[in-house]
Amino acid sequence: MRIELNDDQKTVIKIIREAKSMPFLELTSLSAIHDNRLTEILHELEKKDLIVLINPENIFEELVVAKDKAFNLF
Amino acid sequence: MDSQYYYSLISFGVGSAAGFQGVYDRYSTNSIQAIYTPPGAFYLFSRGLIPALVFVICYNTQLFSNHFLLYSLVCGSSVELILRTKIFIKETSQNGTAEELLRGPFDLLQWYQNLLLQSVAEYLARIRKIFMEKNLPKSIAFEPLIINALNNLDAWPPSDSINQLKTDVQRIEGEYHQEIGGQTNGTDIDSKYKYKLGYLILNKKGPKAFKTLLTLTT
Repeated sequence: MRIELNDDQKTVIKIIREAKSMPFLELTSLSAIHDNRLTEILHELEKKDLIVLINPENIFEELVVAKDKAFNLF
Repeated sequence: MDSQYYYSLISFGVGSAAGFQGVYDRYSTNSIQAIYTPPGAFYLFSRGLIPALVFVICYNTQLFSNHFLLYSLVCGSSVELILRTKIFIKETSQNGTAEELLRGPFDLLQWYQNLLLQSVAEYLARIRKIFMEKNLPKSIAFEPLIINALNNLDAWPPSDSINQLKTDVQRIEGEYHQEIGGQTNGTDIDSKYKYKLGYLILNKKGPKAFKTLLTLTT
């Protein structure tokens, strides 16, 4: 099944899959997307089963991990 | 113990090497760091264990009684060959394009590899976080830290990557001023932006440059 992504979601996926995983604050420093918007995007991507969020309740502890599906998107 | 069993280590090596290829495909420059994480080490061990066990079973059942070196290599490569097998099931059609449906042990191997390598990714992110917690200067506020980073950046020979990093550092500085404006308790914001700055430098230039750029100069 084809997964549709908007430009922001594509930007985030590109950054994550380059490193495979990273802390949330690293992702926000690289993506130039505001923290609140980035949190929304990450939840959207998690719903699409493209990433896993670990400790999403605390941005200092939060880790973002790319799932296998994220590597075969575009 | 029969000394011929030691040849199973060669089969183990072949299996582990094949496993490492999977790790390298995903982690390239971080692959060495990846295999030192618990799931990475377990993955390599398990990939080596299967051909080693096959060698031991074949030797115990006396399938071979000489040329042990050759058979240990054969066991290693045969197991790998079987694990990578895919069998044609049927041809499916999607949006007018024909696709072959293939299934086999490779699907299971790929599932296992993805499961373990995803855990490796989690460990690697944790390692970065721990690095930051250990090395980010704690007693310095964000503003002197960023001024220091920009000053240190100026001391480096100009290049496209340095200019890009400077732009990104200035962007983070701008975001900080926008967020801190009007706030009375900026401790969390200060700390957050220190982490952002640290991660940016770590990502773009690595741990050595991180320490150089964020070391306070007087």
